[in-house]
Amino acid sequence: MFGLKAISAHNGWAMAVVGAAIVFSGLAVLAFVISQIHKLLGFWDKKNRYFDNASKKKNPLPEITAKKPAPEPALCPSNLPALAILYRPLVESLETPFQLTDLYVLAQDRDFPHPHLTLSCFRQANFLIPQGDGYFTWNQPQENQ
Amino acid sequence: MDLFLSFLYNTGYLLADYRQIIMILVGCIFVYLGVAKKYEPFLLVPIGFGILVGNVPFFKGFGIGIYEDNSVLHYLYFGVTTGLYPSIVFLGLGAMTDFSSLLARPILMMLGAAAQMGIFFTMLSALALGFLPTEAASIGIIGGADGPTSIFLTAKLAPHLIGPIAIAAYSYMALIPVIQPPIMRLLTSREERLIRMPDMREVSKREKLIFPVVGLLLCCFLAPSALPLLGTFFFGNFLKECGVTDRLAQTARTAIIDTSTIFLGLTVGASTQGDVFLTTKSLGIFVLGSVAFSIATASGIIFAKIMNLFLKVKINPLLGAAGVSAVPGSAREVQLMGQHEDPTNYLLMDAMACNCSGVIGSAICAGVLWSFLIV
Repeated sequence: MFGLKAISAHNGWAMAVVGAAIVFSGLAVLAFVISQIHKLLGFWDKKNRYFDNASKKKNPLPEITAKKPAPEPALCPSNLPALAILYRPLVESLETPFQLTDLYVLAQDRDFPHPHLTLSCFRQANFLIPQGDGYFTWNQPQENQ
Repeated sequence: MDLFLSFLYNTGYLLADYRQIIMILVGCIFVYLGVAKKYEPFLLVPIGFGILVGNVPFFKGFGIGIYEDNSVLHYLYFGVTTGLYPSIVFLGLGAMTDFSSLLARPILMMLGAAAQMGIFFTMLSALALGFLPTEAASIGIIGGADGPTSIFLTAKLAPHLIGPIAIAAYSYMALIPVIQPPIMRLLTSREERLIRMPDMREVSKREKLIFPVVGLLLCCFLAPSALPLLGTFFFGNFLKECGVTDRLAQTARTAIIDTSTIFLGLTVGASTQGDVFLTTKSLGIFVLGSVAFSIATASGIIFAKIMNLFLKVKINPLLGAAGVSAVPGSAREVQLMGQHEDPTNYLLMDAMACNCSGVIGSAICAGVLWSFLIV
């Protein structure tokens, strides 16, 4: 049997329509449910916060006077300009602009102390000027200050 | 001399017939496409080499061939005929899949549903061409563009067609860069292709954790026959997201999926013995497979355009093409097509959402068809 007759004889139309409807409805329900998950989670969090606040009001906790956090130690070396003189030949051996990783590798090869920290401080102190895409140039005037 | 002659008569050189030679050439083409052109190499290389293995001529009755009881290949093929390998592949797929984009934009799930229309259209076409309903359903599932799902359903409904259907499904998946772009261009205007998708919201860890549980329960309560595929799929995803089974998830998405893909590809390839494979039915399956794939792509795009009639924030209709579950090939094509029109337009994450829903949709389709036709 061929053609439309074969489709009808094997219940093809019904299978196709019902099958398509099941797939559509299944995925539509799933889509709806997952679109609500974050709202339900948000509601759950809000409810928990509300109950926490309510219980805090009922039984206020004794006030704890927090100690002032200790001031962060100054991490950058104080002799940054001197270090810059040390780093300058390395910069000159690189192309301009250069990548920090290249400079880091050179500094590490020469056993300079704490190259990562020093480069970070160079950036903060504007010895290294970002040129975008991870490339930098050396700021000569800053070194002379 | 007699010993030498009897040995000679048992060699492949004298036993070969033209169908095996044709299939060996097909196998070489698959291997070439996988290795040299890098078209889906993880699929085409095992399948292509499997075709070579399966078409080496041998003296039947010695327990050598894949269709002979007690042969090694027959035991390996057991994983295909029982639907074991597809189920394991789905476990690995689940452990690989990130549902963030789908959770951020659930509406894209409807494109995954729409792209499954290719399955039903092709099933009707196959019925009209005289295939039995079980065969028609197995051919139609090629439109889901999901190799493991096609093999799973065919193993259940029409095991004699596993070879051609698996080869057709994987071939068309590898040919996505050839099949989909012309349909995408034909059905969309430039303005539509330029539509940008808004930024996605951040998806929390808890949402990603809840999704596999909700997805499993909703989909498998609706179509319990999809359990062997979706059960492992969502389980794999839960392993990935729960945060305490990283080692299991890592194994599922590497060693386990790789092992099953190797045996799946090799045995499916080896099942294409020339005398079994080269029939008019196989030719019909290949033609219908390409129809299935094209209709699936087109129906996703057309449905996206229909959705745009009702949506305030329009969606890029190219995303409909990613509703087929060929992960990540079709999503990549959508991204490439979108960037071809506007290099700053990034559609990949949205396309992956459609892809993921396509995987779920085609597994549900397989479950539904199996339950319709199970005797």
